[in-house]
Amino acid sequence: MIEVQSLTKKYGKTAAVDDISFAVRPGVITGFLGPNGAGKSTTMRAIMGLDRPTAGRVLINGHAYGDLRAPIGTIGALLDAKSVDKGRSARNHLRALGATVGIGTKRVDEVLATVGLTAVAHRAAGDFSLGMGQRLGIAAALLADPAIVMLDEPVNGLDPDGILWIRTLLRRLADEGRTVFLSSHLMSEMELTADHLVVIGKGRIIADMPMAQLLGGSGRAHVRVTTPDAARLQWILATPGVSLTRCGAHTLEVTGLEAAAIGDLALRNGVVLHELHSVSVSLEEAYMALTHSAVTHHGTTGPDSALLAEGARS
Amino acid sequence: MTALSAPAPTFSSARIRVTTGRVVRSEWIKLRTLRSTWVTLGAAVAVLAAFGIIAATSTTAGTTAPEAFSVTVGGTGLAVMFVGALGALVGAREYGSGMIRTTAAAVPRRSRIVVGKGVALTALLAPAAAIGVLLPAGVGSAVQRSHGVPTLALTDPLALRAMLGVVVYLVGIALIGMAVGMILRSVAGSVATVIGLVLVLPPILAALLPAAWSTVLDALPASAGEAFATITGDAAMSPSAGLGAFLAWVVLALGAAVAVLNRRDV
Repeated sequence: MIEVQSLTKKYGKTAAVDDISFAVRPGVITGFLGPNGAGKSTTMRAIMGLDRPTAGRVLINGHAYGDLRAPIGTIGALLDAKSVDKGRSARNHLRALGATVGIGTKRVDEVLATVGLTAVAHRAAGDFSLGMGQRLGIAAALLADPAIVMLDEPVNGLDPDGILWIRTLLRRLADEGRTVFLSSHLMSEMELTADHLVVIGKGRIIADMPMAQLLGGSGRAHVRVTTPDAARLQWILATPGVSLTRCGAHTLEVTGLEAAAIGDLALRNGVVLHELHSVSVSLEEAYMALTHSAVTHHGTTGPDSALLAEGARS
Repeated sequence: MTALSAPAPTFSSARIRVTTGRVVRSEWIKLRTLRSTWVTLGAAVAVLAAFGIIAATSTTAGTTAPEAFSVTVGGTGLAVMFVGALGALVGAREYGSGMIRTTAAAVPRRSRIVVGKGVALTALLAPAAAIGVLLPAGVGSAVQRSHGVPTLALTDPLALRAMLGVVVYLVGIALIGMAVGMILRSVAGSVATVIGLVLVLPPILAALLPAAWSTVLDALPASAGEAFATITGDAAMSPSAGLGAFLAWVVLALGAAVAVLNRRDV
């Protein structure tokens, strides 16, 4: 469990994060979403005790980071794939890191195998590709079997196989009951990976909710029904709390009713359906709706959503 | 409240912990697994040995035994550059690569990082420096004796003080280099600073400052080191006063590094 409490971090006069609070819970994958420069990395550095908060605090399983008896055994982090000396081999890097808590070569070789770096374990980390560097960073995060795993932009530089691998790995870690926290500016990736989302923009938390709620709550999730008897179905479904939009001669967009309920009603009334499917909003659309309202609410305009959309396409 | 929630699974954190000894071990692994360590260390030992042996061949008759022996360990002034660079590498290199974030996250009590690096550096450099003085002292003395120049036996108390003094001096300079490296976070800047402090600054200050400042000049690391590492009796301070002043510099530098590391974001 990571608890960020009223955290503010200023660099000079600029607040990189401004009075943010949220908690990251065990057993689920929590995504930390926001455009580049929104304050994700600053928050993660504050969580790791690397940057001292200007105000507020962070608790790791109830303790301040500096009070942890075995930091890498409590929270394993990939903050930056380049936090490695280029001249040292991957294996020696992990040996040195593990030595701080008495972890030996047996476990080092184990995590090297887990991340698929056994064959290059003796090569200097400086010769690694970005993807291999990410794997080494993930090996370092997993080295001391921590209850919390925190990864900053872990899919950066990974090929499709690597991305799938990390998604599976994160799911396994969460299923084991660990707290999994990962940041990304890629909404498409978050949508596939995270169960819960903390959305940050311009140093403030915009949303902190389950992924399903974020996707469902934007008001644009609907069920699309195609039937040769659209007029009759429209009449059947028209009840309080249900809104219907006619799209063409045979198609209706229904909000306020589940697909199953629509199917049941159609069957009971003898209406033939040719198509019945739930259209969920993409995270990108939900994010746009969210940031749009946040932006209007604060009376400012910003490039955040544009940047994010660009990130999602790339 | 805890009665309602499922028991949290326990992972390894309950069984393991950071200790200062483990941080030393970690830094020891780091130090030995970089080629640059062995290059600078090798250069320091080679310079010490080569300078002493070559100088011994040209020692002329008529010098006193302590003077002749001093010649064999006279490579110290050159070796300082390499041990200063070694210290600067230990202190600053991690800032260039970003490795320091890994280190600081693993060891949140930053004073332990300074202690760990300092002990590892000392453990590696002290024996190497000992070889680096014993070799030219032994070979150089033999050369001098073969040329009929009187010199001290290696077991002579004065000879022992000279050799031990050089080892202490070199380790101390390396530790100052390490502390400066941690403060400046740049290898090149730290090497320049240490060499400037030890080799360049003293003669410039001596030329610029009035004679009344001589006690200050005598207490600078280089002259303080000279006071306990040389045995020819021309140092301004007594050996023990020199050692005290020199160690004070080392402690001051390390203390400053701890203070800066504690205050600064990584």
